Amino acid sequence: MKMRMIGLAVSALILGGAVAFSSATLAQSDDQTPQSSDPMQIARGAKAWSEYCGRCHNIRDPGERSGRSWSVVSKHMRVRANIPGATAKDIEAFLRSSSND
Amino acid sequence: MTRNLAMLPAHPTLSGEISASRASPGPIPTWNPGRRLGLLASVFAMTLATPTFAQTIATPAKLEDHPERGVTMKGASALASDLLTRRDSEQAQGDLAGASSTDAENGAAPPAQTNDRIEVVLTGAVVADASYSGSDGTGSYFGGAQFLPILLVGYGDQLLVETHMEITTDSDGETETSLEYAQVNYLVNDWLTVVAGKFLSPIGQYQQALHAPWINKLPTAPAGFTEEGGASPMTETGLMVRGGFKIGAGTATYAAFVGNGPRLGELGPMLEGFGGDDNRNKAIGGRVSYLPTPDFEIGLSAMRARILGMPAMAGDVSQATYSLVGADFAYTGGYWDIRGEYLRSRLGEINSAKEPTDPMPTTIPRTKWEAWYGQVAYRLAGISSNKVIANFEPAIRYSRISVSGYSEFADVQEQRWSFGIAYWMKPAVVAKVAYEIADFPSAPSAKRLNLQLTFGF
Repeated sequence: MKMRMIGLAVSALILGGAVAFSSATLAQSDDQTPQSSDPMQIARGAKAWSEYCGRCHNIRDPGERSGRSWSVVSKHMRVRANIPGATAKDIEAFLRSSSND
Repeated sequence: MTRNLAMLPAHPTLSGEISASRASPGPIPTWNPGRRLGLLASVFAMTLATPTFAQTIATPAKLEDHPERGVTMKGASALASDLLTRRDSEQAQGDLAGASSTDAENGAAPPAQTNDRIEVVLTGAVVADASYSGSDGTGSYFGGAQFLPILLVGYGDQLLVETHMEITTDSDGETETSLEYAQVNYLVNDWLTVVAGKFLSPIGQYQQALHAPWINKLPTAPAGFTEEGGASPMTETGLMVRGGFKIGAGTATYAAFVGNGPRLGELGPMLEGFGGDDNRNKAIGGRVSYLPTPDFEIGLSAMRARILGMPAMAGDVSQATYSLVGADFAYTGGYWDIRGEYLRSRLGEINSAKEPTDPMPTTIPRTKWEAWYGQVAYRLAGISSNKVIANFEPAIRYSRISVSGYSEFADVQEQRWSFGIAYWMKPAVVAKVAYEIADFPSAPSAKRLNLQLTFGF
């Protein structure tokens, strides 16, 4: 019974958190798009790319994929590696700027 | 991280003729303007203009052909750092703006687009294994090939679906298919992602970050960090929140889940993501970690669940509490990759069948599992600029799982030494060979040579 209550509490916390943040962040979705025309963001992304991606695996060549493909892969790795969102967007901006399209 | 940069193929934007006449950092050297110039090019080009590069590169030269490629590539991070610290400098801004402008003129850097369209990406790997043993009676064999497709579907900026199948050939020639994970991710904000579905367990570092064959330095998993045994959770089905955020100069990460939890099997708790809950008690757990610097991480994990005994033909079974704690660390500075992980779990006394055909349940005493490994790998790019030698990465690992309590669960006990070397043909294409010596409490030692070829895409 105790475990069930804890489980319910954690579920409620997760769902509550999601609902609480979703409305605010949906409205900001335009701001989350990487601005690949910002050279400083791309420079930050290049640095973060070398630091974060190499923590677990060899770094992949930015020219391997298209910009849109890197956009999806960046989000995949942001979730898997718990990369802070702002850093992941910098990396995405860098990869898009150096992609094969 | 730098040893991983050493692997990176030369980028197309860097393959033009390079003038290394500048011997001081700062201005971008000139090159063939026929190639598009991304900011990466400017970053790396400025690296090439450092005194070190000027001393080692003939003029003109192609970066991709140069034996020092790996060494010079690793300067990218340092240079990006330098650029960022000089962000108030007009010179730095000018360099960057110039590169960006050139990009735009050549149509090289596609503008970021806000979108709500669906993007599908197929990635994954194909793996071939072979093994030889002269000591354990299994002889030599080619292992079942594996096809491990990962399908990623992005929808706009905040939704991502991830699915990972495992398609393998077993020893009888049959094809086995399993779903490793299928999850929907909602990227709520910079530090929070909500995950629903079946996902890799966030407990520890091996399962969620290192087990993929295009990442693992050795052909095998550490002893105790597989499906068998009761120490290392593989997957979970439920809900999870996770993310990362900056704390000062460091980064903190977290993951917390609630899920259906494990079930009891003949060899101990089965720590997988089941598509149902047999006891209406949810498992909870998670991991927190801190990275004071990007190349050092220390993490703590915990999990707690109630497990129902396996039903017998007759008689009542009971539930018991399963608890797990763990700690892990990783150091990835320079060309080193040094990791360790420790997991300890306990299952309380429980009435359960030993196997589904048992007429009556048995009282299984309280049982404890301990699994850990330590691993050191070093990329030879750190000591050699030779193209071939630089791509070798020797690794050594000691791993161990021990069980105390119920003797029927103790068959998984093992301690193992693994001595291996990997040759990275591409960042995710690797040939690995390892010699392993495994000791078991109730069986003769086994010595085995394992080979693995992985093509990640």
